[in-house]
Amino acid sequence: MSRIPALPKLPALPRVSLVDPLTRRWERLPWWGKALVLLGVLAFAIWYPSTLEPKWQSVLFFPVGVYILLALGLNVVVGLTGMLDLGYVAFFAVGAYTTAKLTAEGGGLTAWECILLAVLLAMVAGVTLGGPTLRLRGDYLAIVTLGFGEIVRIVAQNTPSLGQARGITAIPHPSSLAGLDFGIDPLPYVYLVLAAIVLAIFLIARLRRSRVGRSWAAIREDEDAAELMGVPTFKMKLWSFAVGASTGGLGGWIYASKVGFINPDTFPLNLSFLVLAAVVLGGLGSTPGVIAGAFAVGFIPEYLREFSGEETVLERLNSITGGEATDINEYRFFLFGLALILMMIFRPQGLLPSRQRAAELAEATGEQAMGAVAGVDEADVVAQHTGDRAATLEVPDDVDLPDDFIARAEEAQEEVLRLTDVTMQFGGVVALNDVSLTVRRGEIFGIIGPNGAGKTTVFNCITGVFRPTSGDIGLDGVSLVGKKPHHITEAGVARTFQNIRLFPNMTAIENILVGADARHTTSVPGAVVGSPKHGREERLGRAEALRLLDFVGIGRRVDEAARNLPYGDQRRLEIARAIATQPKVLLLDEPAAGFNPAEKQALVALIRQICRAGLTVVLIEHDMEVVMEVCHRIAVLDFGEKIAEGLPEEIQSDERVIRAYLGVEIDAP
Amino acid sequence: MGSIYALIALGYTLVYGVLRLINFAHSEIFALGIYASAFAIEGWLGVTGTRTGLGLVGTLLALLAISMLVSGGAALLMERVAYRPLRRRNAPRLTALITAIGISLVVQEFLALRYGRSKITPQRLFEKESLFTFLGEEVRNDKVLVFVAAIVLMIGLDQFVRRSRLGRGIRATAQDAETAQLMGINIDRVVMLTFLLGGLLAGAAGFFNLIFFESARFNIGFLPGIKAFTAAVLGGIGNVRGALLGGLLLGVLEKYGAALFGGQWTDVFAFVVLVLVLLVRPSGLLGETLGRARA
Repeated sequence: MSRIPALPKLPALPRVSLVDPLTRRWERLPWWGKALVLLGVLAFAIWYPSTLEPKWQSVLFFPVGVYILLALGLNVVVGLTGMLDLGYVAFFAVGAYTTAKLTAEGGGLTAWECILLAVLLAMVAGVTLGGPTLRLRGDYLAIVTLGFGEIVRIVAQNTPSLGQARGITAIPHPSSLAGLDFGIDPLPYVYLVLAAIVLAIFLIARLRRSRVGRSWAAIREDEDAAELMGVPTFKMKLWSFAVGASTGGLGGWIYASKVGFINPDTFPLNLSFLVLAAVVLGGLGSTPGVIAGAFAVGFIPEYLREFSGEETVLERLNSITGGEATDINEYRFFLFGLALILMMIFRPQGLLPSRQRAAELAEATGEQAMGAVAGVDEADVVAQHTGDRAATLEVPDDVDLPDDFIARAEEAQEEVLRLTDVTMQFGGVVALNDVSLTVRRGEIFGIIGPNGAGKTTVFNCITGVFRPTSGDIGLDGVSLVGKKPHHITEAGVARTFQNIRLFPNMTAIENILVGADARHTTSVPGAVVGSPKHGREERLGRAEALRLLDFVGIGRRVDEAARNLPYGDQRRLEIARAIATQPKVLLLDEPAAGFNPAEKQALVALIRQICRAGLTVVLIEHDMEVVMEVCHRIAVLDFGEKIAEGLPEEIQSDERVIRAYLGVEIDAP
Repeated sequence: MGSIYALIALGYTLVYGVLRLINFAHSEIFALGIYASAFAIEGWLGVTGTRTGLGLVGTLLALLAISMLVSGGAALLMERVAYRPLRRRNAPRLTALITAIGISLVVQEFLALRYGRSKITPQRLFEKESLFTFLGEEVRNDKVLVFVAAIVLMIGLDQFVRRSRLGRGIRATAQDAETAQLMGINIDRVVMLTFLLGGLLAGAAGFFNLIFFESARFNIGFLPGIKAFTAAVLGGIGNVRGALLGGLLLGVLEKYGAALFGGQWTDVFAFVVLVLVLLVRPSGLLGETLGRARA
């Protein structure tokens, strides 16, 4: 869709603004206020069902409770990680069938013993599906998951040991526990599902606030950039799938042990859509939103069914469609389908949107896309913020430290990064031809050349975006060729991008933390249980991130969303994010693009400081002043070949370089 | 069967080529085509017995036209009501996908509510008889009819996209929408035309499907829809001839798959093919562009 240029905008879309003030008020509450509210909600959730008739208690268990649980799990995959899973009900089915098979018909286990197995097997199913398919993106992933959901159902339908179409019956109820007797009475099950929901909310919230949650957000925002910042994207996506699947499995366990029988028709494809509808209606990525959405999807049809005016509502609907439905429930999917379409048109962020999602969509409606900033009103932005920035980042006094600076460069003889005869072909096009470069530790190395000379391709080869056709790239003597980008980042290479690629809806500090997480080793289970290591890494990471923000001069911007930063600060933030991965070599791709002279001076100072801090810098830049001023040595590329390398003075007087840049025949009269 | 997949696949491919959007609701457009012809048979045309000769030809053509028009119209409506507002806002992809699911649900349920959830079986139009045997398979007259008609339609589309002025517009938009617009192409019209073409072909596919199976259910669009999508991906989504090839290939593969593993696994088979293709050669057999001169 993005290929279609922005057409004349629609008049301001009507917005349902009732819930937004509520959301804002909530965000202003102090932590104890939030805790009180949550406790109140929990107390209500425990007390209220006991006052209801058994019929409504049943409704609270299924569909309402089970839907909420499933929606929470699906939200991890769709809302937090941004992968559309249309076969989610498959995991619900795996959990339920596991339970049924192991407890009923001589399976031998009790329901309680089965709970872990159901969750684990659903998780395994998630990983099995994820393994081969998570390389796919977006639409493709959606359709493959859709297929998976059907496969699970068809397998259940056709496997004799799973009861085929008849299903499995006589699944035993759990034995009584903590004074709750699990029999016919629905109330204990309401508490059971409530406990599961609270557990799921709690665990998922922990994950969200850890490096895992940040990785998910980064993947959703810009998967390629996330990988290059050291996020093991594949692994993290797999975890997202596994967490979502295990929640589904838990739901399956609860459902099977309450209802007592299951068959393939318990898990229709439409159930996947229904849960998705719940997530979307409530607000992708927002936990309260998702709960509200699932509640609405589960409860409203049941309510309407009892509603005294049902006859008229039903008749109305029937007269519209020309149908002969006798039960309002038959309209469930019709109405939710309609609701989905309308929501997407009028309030795509959902009823109770998450902060990030709302921002994302506000951006889509507004005209100022992040990448467009540079082109659209760069002059404005720059003019507006130059003064601003001068205040925060005064050019350090010791900018001219020529002696020290040059001395360092001369003693820097040890090589850190070496490219040996690197050739990169795309089909018939040779982007790089036998390029060899040696970068020494502690220096600032410039790569210049006309447009299309292959400068950024060099970066892409080093960082593993492309695998060179031939040749070798070594960091401290270890070859980087063929490694995944996030491994290369771990090995000590970090980069910025020519066209800024921050995670636009994450805050400045979150952006840096994603980079810093490349150095963190907390495992996913560690993040869930909150291991001491996790706490330590979070604290250190945070302190480090704040220090870095100060270092690049945007310390005041900690909690602003990256997309709201002025252009220059975005560039700085990107540099900070790269430094946060603690690289040996920092690759900067045209950092001065779009800067005015004052800003360029500040940038030169910053690069020197980075160098002084002990980092090796490789710089691609068009601005000759910047390059000549800051670089110790320079290589010149032209049409994919290195045509010169040397000290700045040497380069300035090199005939071939002049020819390449000015296109003049030296011998011409 | 393969040629029906191919016809539906063309709709996916066209829309994807121009908008980079997978129109999941396309399967429902196909289903609408089936229902349209099913009801036209008894309702509008008042056919009560099998027909022969010229009467049969006339009936078939009329039904084809009706289902194509209904589906084409539905596709246009869908674009106008649900997709265009999103396009105007440059909405993220996920949004469009969810919209498509919404549309799918609405159309399916509409059919279910209006015509019931059980099978409908319209009047048979002509007796099916075996014409000749080919490679040990009996070839029935309805199969030949469907196959030939589908091929004719597909060649027609291919020529249209390649030769005509509007086709050139589609190709230009597929390659670079912005530039195409600057060159005076009305994007909205191209998009509508794309949906219309896809819809017309899906309607034809629906009609053929009905002749072939002589029954329909409210959710009949789903499986062929998925398989057609598989076919489109198999041939290279966004590529008109790829869709054709992919559809025919998938039909044949499915036939052999069913013989090998048993009929109840046929549907699983299609999905497995899809996953394999996406993993091994995501750009499909013939590559991904509608824009190329070849397309």
